[in-house]
Amino acid sequence: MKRKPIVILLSCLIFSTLLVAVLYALSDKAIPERNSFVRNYQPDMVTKSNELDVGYNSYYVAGLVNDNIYLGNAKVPLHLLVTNIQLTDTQHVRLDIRDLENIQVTKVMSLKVDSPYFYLADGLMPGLFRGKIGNWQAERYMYDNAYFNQSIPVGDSSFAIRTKSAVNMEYELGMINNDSPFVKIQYNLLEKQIKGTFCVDGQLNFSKSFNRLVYTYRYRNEYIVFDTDLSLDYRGQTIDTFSVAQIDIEKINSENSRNLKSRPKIINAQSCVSGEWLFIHSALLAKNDNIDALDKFAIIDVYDLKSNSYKLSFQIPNQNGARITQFKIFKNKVLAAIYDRYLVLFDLESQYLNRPDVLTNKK
Amino acid sequence: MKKKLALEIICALFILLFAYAAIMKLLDVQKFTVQIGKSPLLESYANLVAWAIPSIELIIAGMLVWGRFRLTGLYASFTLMSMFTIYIIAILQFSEKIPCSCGGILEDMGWTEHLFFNIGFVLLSVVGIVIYYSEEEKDTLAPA
Repeated sequence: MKRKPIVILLSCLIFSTLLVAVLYALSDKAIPERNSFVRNYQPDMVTKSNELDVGYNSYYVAGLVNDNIYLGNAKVPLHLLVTNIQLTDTQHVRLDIRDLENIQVTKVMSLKVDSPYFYLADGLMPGLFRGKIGNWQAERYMYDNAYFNQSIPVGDSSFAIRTKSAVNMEYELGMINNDSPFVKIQYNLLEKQIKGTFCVDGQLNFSKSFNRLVYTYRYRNEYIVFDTDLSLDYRGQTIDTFSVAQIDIEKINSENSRNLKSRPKIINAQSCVSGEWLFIHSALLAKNDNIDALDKFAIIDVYDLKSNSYKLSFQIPNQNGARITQFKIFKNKVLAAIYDRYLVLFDLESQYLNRPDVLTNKK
Repeated sequence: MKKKLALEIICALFILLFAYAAIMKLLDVQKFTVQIGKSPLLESYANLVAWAIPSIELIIAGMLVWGRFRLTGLYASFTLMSMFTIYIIAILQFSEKIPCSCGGILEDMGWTEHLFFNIGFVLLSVVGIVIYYSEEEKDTLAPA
């Protein structure tokens, strides 16, 4: 081959690289900014205890019962992985549903394990199933004709849900019960700011021991605390000041679908509850955070649900180069987190969560 | 003779790829514009890019059909495919959750698959160019 084509090829390569490089340089890389609030860090709040490579990144924490951790799998809804809390003994289980051949399990089916039952909830089918831990055969056990996109078993035969209302086509919180009228939607809990469903997106949690449901908004500094009759206790505020969702929405006409434009401002990435405490994985930097903190740690802010106040924060470092994808806290003692294909357990110093005491950093 | 056939196949593959991708995008330009608006690299130029990319793809496909422009078309294919490849690498610096908007079945590929698919086509264009030159040499060396 002559020299000329090599020169042309190289020039072409340099041209295309330069073009993308210019685009990259001009793009807004959303360098995180420090905000005006200050976090009250408790450095020895968490200690890593164990780690397990579960082989796939599609596992999620479904429950902890009697020192066994149960992992569901988002890609294989009827597969379950059990491990003891030392993470030394694992067991794969195939879940069964009675009359499975007549059921169309969808990819949104989710698993929750809570003594003495395990629950399978599918909001697209829709279907709600329950079975005994150890027996691993589930069956329909209550009214389940309502569609939903988030769900949590509450008590004996109810499910708290987030659903797209047929009335206004927006997300609402509700409850499925086993007696008439079966489905109750509470229209005043989620407060819309922009048309569509994105601005009220968030995560629904239930604290069994505190007997309260908590919905934490993803794009604004608020969480909603309400009881199992769907009556509002209060709206709590996270420590930042982003009270209005900062998102741009565009519509695809042919699909009549609404889409988020690039990188919406996430405030509360994830949340979970344990007892009277709300744990929020925040996506914001505080005044006393290092500028690269979000690249190295997950920052968890802890709120006291009983007194509606901020308590403390702690950092959990990224593991094996991966960011945290999901976490759950059990009995204020064990933090179980998924990092890509690793399950990592941390011990929580629950004495910091004692009450009453002087709140050092109340907002 | 075999080489000539290989060149024809390479050009046909590119024509198929570009024509398909361009038509899928142009069939629903509004959707493509919204999808491009999600890209942190392209959000400011979504309207321009949404028309420019399929147009360029169609022009290159056209160039590969006619013998006269074929070499230029192969170089252009190489440039465009390497640009897409570098773009993927750049976009992955932001997040893996950014959706692909290549159109049609090409959207179903994951980022890694897409990267290999693109690199494959980049290499294919180089092979095409090498064959093109060797064929040309043969033609000029052949006795009149």
